[in-house]
Amino acid sequence: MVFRSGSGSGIGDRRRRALAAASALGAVCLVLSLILPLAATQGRAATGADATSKIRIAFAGDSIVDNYWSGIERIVDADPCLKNTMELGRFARNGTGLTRGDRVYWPREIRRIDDVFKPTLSVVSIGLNDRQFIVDGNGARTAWGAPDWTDKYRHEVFEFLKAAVATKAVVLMVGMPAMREARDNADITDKNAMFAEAIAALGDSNLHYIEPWRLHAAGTETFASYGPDKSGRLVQIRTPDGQHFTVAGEDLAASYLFPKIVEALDAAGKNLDQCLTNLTKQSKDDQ
Amino acid sequence: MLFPTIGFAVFFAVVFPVTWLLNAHNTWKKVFLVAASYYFYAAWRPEFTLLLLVSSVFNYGAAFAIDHFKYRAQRLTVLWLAVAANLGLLGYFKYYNFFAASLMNAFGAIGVKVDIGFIEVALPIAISFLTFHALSYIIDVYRRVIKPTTSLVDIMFYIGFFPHLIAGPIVRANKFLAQTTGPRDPANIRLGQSVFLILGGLFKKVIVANYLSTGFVDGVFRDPTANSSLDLIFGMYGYALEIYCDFSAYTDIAIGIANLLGYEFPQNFNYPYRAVSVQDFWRRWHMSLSSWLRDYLYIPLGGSKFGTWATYRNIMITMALGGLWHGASWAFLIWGSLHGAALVIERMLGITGDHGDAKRGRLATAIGWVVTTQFVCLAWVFFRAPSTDAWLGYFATMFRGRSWSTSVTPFVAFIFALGALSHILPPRWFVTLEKRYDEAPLAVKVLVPFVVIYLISVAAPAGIAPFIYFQF
Repeated sequence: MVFRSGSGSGIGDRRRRALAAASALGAVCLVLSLILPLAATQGRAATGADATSKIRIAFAGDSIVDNYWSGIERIVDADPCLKNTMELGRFARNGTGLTRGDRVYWPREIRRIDDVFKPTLSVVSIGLNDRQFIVDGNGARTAWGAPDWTDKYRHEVFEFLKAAVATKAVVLMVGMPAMREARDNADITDKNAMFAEAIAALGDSNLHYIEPWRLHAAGTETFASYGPDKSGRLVQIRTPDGQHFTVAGEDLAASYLFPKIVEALDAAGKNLDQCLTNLTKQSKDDQ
Repeated sequence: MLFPTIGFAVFFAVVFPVTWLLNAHNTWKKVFLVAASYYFYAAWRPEFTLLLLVSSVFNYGAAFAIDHFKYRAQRLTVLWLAVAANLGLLGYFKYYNFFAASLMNAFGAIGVKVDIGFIEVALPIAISFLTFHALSYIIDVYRRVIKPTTSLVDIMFYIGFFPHLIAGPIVRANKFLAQTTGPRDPANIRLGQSVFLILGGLFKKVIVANYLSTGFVDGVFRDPTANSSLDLIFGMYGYALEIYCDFSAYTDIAIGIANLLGYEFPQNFNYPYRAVSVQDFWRRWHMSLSSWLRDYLYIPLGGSKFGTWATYRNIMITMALGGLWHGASWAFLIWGSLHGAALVIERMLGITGDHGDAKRGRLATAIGWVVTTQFVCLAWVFFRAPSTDAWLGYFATMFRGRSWSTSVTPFVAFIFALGALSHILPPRWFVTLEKRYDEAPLAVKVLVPFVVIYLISVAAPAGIAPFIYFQF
């Protein structure tokens, strides 16, 4: 009943033969599944070697960074020059954060990303899933709501940021955008402030706090599930969970983040002027 | 709370024995199962359990009001009010923003600025399923198919029973309430079938659907114009397999869990991609929804009783609304309308057959299968693409024939093959497997689920992906 919803009867010779054939097919598939990915990995390694001259941008953190990666990837894919110049690495780990070191210990994970991807710049956003008890890198627990929870979390933030700057990549820590629920909003406001303070305290020229994307240019930012897209039409920009972005929202957030990435790369001596000239010309043509 | 999680395993490990311990005390058992179901729902958002309660109490009362009146017109008036209240709730949570945006965009297109505002409330999970269960009950009472139940607990149990609560199958009130009248017979538990439904569901969801989604399909749909035509073709088929393996997995697990607790749910899938016509497809895909739409929408609209054109109109209305039931977007409406149009065309051409249609030759059956499969898979693009631009871009790139390279890795190809096996392996193999499981010693019965779940968890991709139909 693994796959089906019908019914049947007993085993005959024909079925036994079919069973044997299917077993053989299964065995072949199993062997292929073990061998072929190895071959594919070798192929990818070769491709990776060709691409070492590219500007590498890692997207690391929880699920919301996947939204940023997705939107930026569409910007890069749409422009042949950017596509030849930049390589994006998707390293979001859904459902993770800085609280559960027993699942993913992000200070270690960010070093691992540096080892495997060697990013020029990392776009990081984290904290969406952190309203819970903390398990630090040594396995010590701090209960959610305990008096020392905030201090402990601040410590985890520092550990993560220290590990991030140690990679020598430029790090853009993006604040979390407005959420629908008041409880979530209060939480991300505290965490964004904590990240901004920690980054200021560390004072590393490679580490920058990026204010979260806002729908409204001025005033108090409130959550809006619908908003105008590039053409001014009202479209759904946030997902029903009240936290993430829809594809249209990803594009809005990416168009806010992309200039920040370009600016940070420029400051790090990685100039994208050639591609940007094309992009500017193209956007003028579109208009 | 998602089925393939440790949290659910612990929950069920408590619910299963307690349910059977209380079996002799039917009312207490139902009270316990209602409490467990509300806890299950509250794991997502506690405040929306109030919605479950209000819906149950309202429809409990509405059924009595409908039954109270002697004359059909009176009963019909009360029914309409109750239906409007149920649909009003659904419309408020699910469709208001969509229609508001559509209206403002329509006025904007003619240069008139209208601001009617949006509402920012969380969409209660599974509200569409909840509403259809409630409607099934009050309409069956109106039709005198069932008498209104005197037990509020029974209605709370019917609407809120956790295996079907989130993503179906849609269980008919008359079929379910008949099962709530007394203790369930443990002899009716089909242990082998239930265990393999649950294990098979976990495999389809956790391995096939999740790997297809994260390994290939998501990437293709994220930016269709950046992909080769061949990848878009594979993406289309990949999504067809993904949504089947995802949704059928949920209902398989739901049916298995309900049976372990002593209750019967209807079959929801029957090899849908073996269909040889679109009509045949809808007899095999989400069968509990298609039969619901037929009985509670198509037939009340007049069905096929009022001539050819009225039949076509009724089919189109039913399928378009069926599409919109899935979500508040034009893409779902187009998806449903396309299926409606296909059903109308089949009627015009006299194509209504299935595999058992003796009038159809083998060649006609084969052609029917090819055409139906391609149509269904193409239509899934509307279902999956997040916006009009996205599906326009998808089809434009796919049919332009831009580049025939592919990024399908051997691993993804292997997962495709596993997904395809879901329609190739004959059902009787599983019947044999289940029979052997039923005859096996207790140690084997215990060991098999543990080993299979362990292997699935080891092979699973990282993270927990929610079921696609949760959003509906």
